[in-house]
Amino acid sequence: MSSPKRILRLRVNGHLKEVLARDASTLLDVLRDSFGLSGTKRGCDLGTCGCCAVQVDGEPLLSCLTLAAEVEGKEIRTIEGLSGTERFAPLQECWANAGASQCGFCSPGFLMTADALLRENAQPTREEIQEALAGNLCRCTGYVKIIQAVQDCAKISAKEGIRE
Amino acid sequence: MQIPDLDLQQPRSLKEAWTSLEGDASFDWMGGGTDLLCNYKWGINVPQKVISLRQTVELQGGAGTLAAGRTLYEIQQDPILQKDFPALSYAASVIASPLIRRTATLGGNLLLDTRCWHFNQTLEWRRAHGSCLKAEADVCRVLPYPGNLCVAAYSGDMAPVLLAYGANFVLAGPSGERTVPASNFYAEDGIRRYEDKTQEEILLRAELPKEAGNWTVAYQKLRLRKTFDFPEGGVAAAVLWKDGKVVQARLATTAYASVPCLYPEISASLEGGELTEVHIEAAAEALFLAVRPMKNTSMSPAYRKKMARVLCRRALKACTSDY
Amino acid sequence: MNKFVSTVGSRIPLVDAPEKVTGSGVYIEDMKFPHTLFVRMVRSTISHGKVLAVDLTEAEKVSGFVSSLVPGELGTGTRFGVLPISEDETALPAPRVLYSGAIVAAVACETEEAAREAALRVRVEYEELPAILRPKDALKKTEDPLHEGTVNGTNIHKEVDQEFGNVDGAFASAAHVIEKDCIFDGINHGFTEPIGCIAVPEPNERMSVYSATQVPHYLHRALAKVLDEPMHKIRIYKPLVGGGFGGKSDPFPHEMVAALLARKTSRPARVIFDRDEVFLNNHGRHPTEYSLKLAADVDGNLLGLDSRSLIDGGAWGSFGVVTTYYNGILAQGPYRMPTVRYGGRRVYTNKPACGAMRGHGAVNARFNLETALDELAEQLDMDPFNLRFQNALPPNSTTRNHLRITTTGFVECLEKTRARSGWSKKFRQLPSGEGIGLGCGFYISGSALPIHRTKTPQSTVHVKIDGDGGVTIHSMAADIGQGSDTVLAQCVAEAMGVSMKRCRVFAKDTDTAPLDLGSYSSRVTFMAGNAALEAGQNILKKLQAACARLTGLPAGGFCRGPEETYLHKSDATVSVSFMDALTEALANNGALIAKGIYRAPKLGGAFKGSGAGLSPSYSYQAFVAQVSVDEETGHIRVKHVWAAHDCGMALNRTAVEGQIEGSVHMGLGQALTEQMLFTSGGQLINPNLLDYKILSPLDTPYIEAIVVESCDPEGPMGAKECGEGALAPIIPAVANAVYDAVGIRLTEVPMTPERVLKALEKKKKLEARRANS
Repeated sequence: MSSPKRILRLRVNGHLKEVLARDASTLLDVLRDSFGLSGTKRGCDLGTCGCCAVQVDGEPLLSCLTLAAEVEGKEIRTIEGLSGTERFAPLQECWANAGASQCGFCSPGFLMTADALLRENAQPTREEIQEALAGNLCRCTGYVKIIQAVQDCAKISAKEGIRE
Repeated sequence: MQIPDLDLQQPRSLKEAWTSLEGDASFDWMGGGTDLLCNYKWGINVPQKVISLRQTVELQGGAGTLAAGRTLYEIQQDPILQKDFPALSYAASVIASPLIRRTATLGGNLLLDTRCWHFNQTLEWRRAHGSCLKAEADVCRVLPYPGNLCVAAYSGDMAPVLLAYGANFVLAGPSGERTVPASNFYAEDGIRRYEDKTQEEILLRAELPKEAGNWTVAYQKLRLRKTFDFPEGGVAAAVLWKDGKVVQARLATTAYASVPCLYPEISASLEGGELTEVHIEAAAEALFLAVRPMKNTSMSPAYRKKMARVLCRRALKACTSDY
Repeated sequence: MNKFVSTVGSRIPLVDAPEKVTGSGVYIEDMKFPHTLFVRMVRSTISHGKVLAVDLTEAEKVSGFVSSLVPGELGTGTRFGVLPISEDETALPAPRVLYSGAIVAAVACETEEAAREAALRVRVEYEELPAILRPKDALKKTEDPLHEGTVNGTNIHKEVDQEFGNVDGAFASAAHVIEKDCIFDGINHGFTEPIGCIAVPEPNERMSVYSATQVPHYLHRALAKVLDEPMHKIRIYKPLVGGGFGGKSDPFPHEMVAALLARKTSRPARVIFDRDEVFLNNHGRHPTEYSLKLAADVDGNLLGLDSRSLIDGGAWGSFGVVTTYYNGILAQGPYRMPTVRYGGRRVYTNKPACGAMRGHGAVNARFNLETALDELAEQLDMDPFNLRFQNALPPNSTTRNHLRITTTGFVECLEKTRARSGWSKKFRQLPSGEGIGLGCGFYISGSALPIHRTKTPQSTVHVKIDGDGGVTIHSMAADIGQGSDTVLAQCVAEAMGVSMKRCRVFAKDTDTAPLDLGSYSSRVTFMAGNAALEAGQNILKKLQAACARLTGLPAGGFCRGPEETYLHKSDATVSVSFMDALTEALANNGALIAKGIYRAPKLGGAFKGSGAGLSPSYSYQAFVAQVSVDEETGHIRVKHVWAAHDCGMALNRTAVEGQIEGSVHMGLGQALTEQMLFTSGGQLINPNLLDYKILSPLDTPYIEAIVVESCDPEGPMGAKECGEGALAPIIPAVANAVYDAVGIRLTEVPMTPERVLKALEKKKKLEARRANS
């Protein structure tokens, strides 16, 4: 039996691309294997670590529990698209400076989740940050510097008064 | 991990959904898929066809509705629900993790497959350990005597709260819609799971009785972490107050059996008078005696049983805070 | 300022942070090679038995099947292991499988799908043997021990008996004796990146093995043995590693399998584990039963420590010999302990092997000691802090078991946590259900005794500078997220007086890097850092000579100045820029190269096992946890942690705090939620991140890292370890806080709600009985 496959038209980080994928392929599989976007990480593959989080129409989602075919026609954003045309997004700079990445494996998922939070809530409280990040696991940092990085970024955007 | 080959259908309407069933392929309806896809990755009961209802218009609904296709995040954030039925948005907010809630749906949580640690494992694990009734074998590993029903735990958080509100479920099948009281919907068998829902039928939405907004409802969930974990026990309490007295009450549990349960006899004992500590303790004790958790989740049955008392007490106390 | 500005103590982003925050960093699963085969393991379905036959008939029919590896094939039975004294691991059963989930065979296919399908179709025939699952049963004599060389025909892998001083006399004269029997479940490292490796055959009959490893050197040695090739035929490459914590510090069977399959097929062989396989690999913290007796005089002076451990090692030796020693030796500091007795037994059982995990060997024993001290303080009616002050190891001393103590910041740790936590206004004064507790600690800063007894330095660092002005640093210290690359860059830059931005660290490849023993036992900052410092200093000498040639002033007078210049002591107006000095140094000479080395000084006594626990330096901790306990459900909520850690000198404040915070988080997981659970048949029940419960951002309290500096005389610029010692103290701190909150002494870890509730019920019964009598 040949496996059910289809051609998917996916818009990732602003670029539309056609790829051939199995119906059963997850967005994580397709991003990593067909798009070569290996920044999105496979941690547990069952939705309980958040390493694979990406944004779909601005919402943070688990790419390991999303079938690729389900996000056709939507705007998919991965860690590679976080900074747009800049080298680093402000959140990435805050992340690096705060020491929020140690081994870095969870960072892409955390960054995509935290970025979505800041888009929805530019000045989150510490509790709101903890709540928003409660689908991501980090084994290195104890989350102190991760939360710090989000707060730092919120502070900067408050100072600048703008966020794209 | 990889999801085994399957044929994905994405109907935009119910009509399309049923059309996509043509042929005799095995199938699952899929809401958000956050639970189902995990099972597939573990090679558990993978059907030939998966019909995703994400784009099916009849399952969608706006603020204040309990449409099956709404995500748990939407339910959690819905200002109308937060105001009128806070226990519902609260229950949604304590399900799984914020990332999962962005995809998981109300319908998916209500129809969540039952769970058991003999079953929710990889194919290789089940082979080594011996599989069970619910997957590839014909023996239960929890209660291994012949003829018993599957005792996998029902682990949804929305159902007990909806039961407490006295909700109905609206189902649609190729031959039309019907409304079933949530209390008659589930069947105590971790495999069959539903009394008379046919496989073709699709859950469209939950509906609350008109007077549901007058009830005070509270939900208590037992789990180890504040996120990710399925309930190891859950109790919803609902009270209809009049002049400081309980006109009507309901108690519902989750994770204590293969179905979410109502306890009409216990809640009846609360009706007619004030809700004093004595009443609360008596009800909590009765619930403690009534629940029969199995050894198939991470906490021990004895502890989970004890906690029924605490969860019940706290849920009822929370209901009294309105008075 | 006209002076050199040191970076020591500042906040420096990790040198690899840019690739980590942009997703461009390459981890093992991100690496691709042409013509790669996908390898999938066939795993044992039984806990103990002999493999009689492996039937590949059905597997071979899978489209895309290419090759397989089965027991009996060349190399699969070659014994290896991280410690040369217990090399008892094999790539495949030879012929016994020792735990459920162990690798039995492997298939290699054109695609991942095919490999998964083929592996499922392999049929293995076993002769099942009775499994030993409880450590108690492993103590018994048997005809058929799980490994050769066990103690007296039992399944005891390692037995340690040490006694210093007259322990019985001390206990006989003691005014107070506290006894503590505790039980610890096994736990797993839980790094977010699954384990994986890719073996790539190279021209000239060489083999490259790319692996997510903490110990490229030990992997190098083990592969050479299994492949039966000289080491120079093998190259180890370490990509970015997504967390290790000790869990990637052994050479593993999957690495051997990949290499053997790559050799067999002459194609790259790729192994990436699923999460459940990571748990089956384990080598996590040992399940342990630990008993301890503590003696003190009427004034609270400690007189003696008498402890015993029964350590469940699982299927293989791994680091277990060290674990067995550490459980005794590292439980003594940071206190003066006039007499000490320790009896440790590590046993083999038919479960996944245990090995090194953050705080290796020092964590479980620490719990007994620190909770015993809390009890002792109460008996003495003494503040727990005062008890510690009174018994603190003095600087420049030697412990009863011959550990050399140089500087110590322990007292300062105690002072700072006491003040910052508001201890004196909280201890025994918080409302019922709320509590505060103290736990302290002591850990090695690298093992002084190398695993292989050679005279080779434990760390060597090479530095190369060419005309581009970039400083290239070669080392085989393994950055696993702790920031070792950053430390090396900082040490070299600091020694040379140049900006870290010039430095690029290549610590990935055994073909180019000089030998380093790798990232374990908290050794990298101390040992590789010292080597880097020396390499930088050696380069500086060449630059000083160039300055002398350029200025006519004596070379020795040149020192580091501001903004990458060299100034002369005798004439402040003379300033030579780094680039000018470099250009001169390169003339007629070519690229500058230098190296630095580190070898630990000779330490310790002359008794058996005297090498274990020796370290050129030790770290110290004093932690306070504030908790609330739900007396109805038994849930412990840790609300705040104050964690003072003496790291010698904080070279990079951000990184030091990060290590402390991460250690506390991991310790809290062991304290509260994490446990490896097994079926009665020995099968791991919870090999996934839903059921193995790591604390989320919502479950983790605010952790206040308090950096204490004691300026170690031998550490690089005064630094010592900060990555492991900070784990152990939090667990007893929580237990002691729970006692303060609700008056129960917990003796089982993790302290799950269920266990808390059981203890509360026991206490209530006892109180009721007392009230009745």
